[in-house]
Amino acid sequence: MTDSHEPPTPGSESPVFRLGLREAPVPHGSPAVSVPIPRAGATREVAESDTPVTPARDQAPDDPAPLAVIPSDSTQPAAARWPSRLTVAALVAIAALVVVVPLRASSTFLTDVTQLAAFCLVFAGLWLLTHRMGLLSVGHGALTGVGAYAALHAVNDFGLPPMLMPLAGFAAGCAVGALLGIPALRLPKAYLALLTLSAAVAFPIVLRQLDGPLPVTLDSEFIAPTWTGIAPNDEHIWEFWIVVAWVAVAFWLLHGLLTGPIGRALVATRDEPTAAATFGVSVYRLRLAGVSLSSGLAGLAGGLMLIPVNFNDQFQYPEELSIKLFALTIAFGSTAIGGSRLIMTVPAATVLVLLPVWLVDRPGWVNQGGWIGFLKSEFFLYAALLLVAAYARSRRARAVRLYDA
Amino acid sequence: MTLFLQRVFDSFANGSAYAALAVAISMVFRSTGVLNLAQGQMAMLSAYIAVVFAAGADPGVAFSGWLTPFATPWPIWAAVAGAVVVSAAVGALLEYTVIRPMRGDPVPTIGATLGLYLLIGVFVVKHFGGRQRFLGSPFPQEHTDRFIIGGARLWFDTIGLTLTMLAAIGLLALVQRTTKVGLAFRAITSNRDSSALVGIRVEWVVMGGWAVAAALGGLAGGLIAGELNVRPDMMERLLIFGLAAATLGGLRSPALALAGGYLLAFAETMMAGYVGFIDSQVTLVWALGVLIVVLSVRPSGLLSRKAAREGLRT
Repeated sequence: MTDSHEPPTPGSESPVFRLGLREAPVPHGSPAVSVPIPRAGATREVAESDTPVTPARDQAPDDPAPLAVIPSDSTQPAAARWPSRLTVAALVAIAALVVVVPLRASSTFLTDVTQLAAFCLVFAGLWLLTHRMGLLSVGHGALTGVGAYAALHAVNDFGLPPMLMPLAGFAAGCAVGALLGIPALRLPKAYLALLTLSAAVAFPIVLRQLDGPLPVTLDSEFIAPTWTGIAPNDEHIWEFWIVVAWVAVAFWLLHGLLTGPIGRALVATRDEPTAAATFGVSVYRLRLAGVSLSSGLAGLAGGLMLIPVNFNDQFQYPEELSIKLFALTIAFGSTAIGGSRLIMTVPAATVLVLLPVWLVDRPGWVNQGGWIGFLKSEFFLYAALLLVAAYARSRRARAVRLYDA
Repeated sequence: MTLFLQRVFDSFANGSAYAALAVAISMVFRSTGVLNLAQGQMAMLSAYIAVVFAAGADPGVAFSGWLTPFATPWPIWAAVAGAVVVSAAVGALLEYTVIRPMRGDPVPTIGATLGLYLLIGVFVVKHFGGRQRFLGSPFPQEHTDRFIIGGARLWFDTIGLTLTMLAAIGLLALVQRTTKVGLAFRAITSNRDSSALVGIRVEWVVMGGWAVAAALGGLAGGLIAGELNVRPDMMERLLIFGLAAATLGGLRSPALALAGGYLLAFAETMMAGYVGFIDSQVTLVWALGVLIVVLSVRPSGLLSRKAAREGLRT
């Protein structure tokens, strides 16, 4: 049996090698791969919580290293599985939209879509936190604001090139996420929600104290190079493409990270933290890195949000935004709506950005008093979505528990 | 010295509200493991319910027409008492319809409390509008209704609010220690499964816990409305301070949550009074700072480490 505290060597059969730190060879199409765990007489599941445990039937009674099962699912290496049809179709549709939308859409609509692209990154961070790590954040709106604040002042006060300002947002988001995660991750999951909600409520007040009551404008513009052929009045097209390029690169990197060993280790810390720790994964540090990355993505999105909007103030990132982000993350991670796939961040961001636009275009539909107006209001729709998604999620979790029992 | 004493007196009213919310949050958390993020909104709803009762059959106030048979506006103390009763019923109803089906799963349960947070907020905005409303205090509020102690003014209103909240929390502690219902509540906070095995109706007790917590929050909302006026965002700050105070109490001890509430209010008033760059708004950030520091340095808060481990202390 391998000592889980020793560093693994390439080619060894260490559980550490299999689970988290290096890539495990997985035959294409095989349903599962078995790995030994260092505890006799027990079979442990090291996979997503909704996957039934498969007993190791061919194991000898005196075998000191019984088998655990890692099913082939979305956490397996990318080379072992093709993207689903839904993912391919969505990617093709998004690519087509990126080309077509700027040429056909009005500048207002394109600004909305640019924000939508940036919000996809916020949802990606929340998706990582909620669906891959099983943690809760009700403060990603504030973290986006932190990124926007840092990016804006990095350009205005420190002369950072505006093209690189999202990196300042990313760094600030990572730092604040780590600050919240360091105390909260040693405690039950509810504490992270508590701290992030507090941060969400406090952020607009802090921003007003730092920047004053009036909006602060970015001292820079995004002028399209001549080779693009974009007319001087159509900078919003150039801004759209800049944001989409940043988002595409960030998604590509995130996807690579999560389909690799680190992604599998993150899932292990969610489902079987004790087993993960036994295999040599530092659960606390990995979770802290995940929270920091998730917050960094929100900060990156905050930096990108400045490109179309060009200013920042206390009203852009209220606590309601954080709750809406949380609601849509829960709803668009449920099996009823597409399952917990990274691509589901796109429809979630679409609802977040375009639902208010759609409602504003229907003043007679929304601005009614009494019960009818109540049922048609945006926050009621979000509240209903949150409650239904939470109920569906609890039902599913209960069904999985009963199945396991 | 007079100024210091005045600030100590000023912290009593806020401290009572923070303490009540903190005790309500602690009660729910220790019995069910649920962090009720909608506790502040439930208290705000209670303040609006008190406004409805106090308005009588006023066409300008939604739902007050339902009180037409009573015609005359209720006295403020009766309006607050009525709001507390309605809040308790609403708390029990929400536990039965929204929280219980979540079966204690942390992600859906916190999602559900946030759904309630939004739902109550939009309900109030749609039916009562975003304007602030005046409820008034059930205690004397004339400019002569005060004691002068060491040159500082201690208002009857502040004394009444503080004593009422302390009495309510004390009564709750007494019920928990001396009655069978209290024993059942303490039993399920200790071991839920064993409590069910010995015949305690766990679900009823938990529902009762939610009702009492909602009533306590409702009392805080109704009483603090005399200081803050009633508006949809009136409890946002108070919720954060309440959560910080509950964290100081280790989220499991109502008594220490009570102490945490007064301690935070004292620190807030002193910082706003003596530290030049901190105004009354920024003190909220210090509550967040307290949360981070307490969770980093001493996650059990004021609770002893042994009690925190056992999770049993009342």
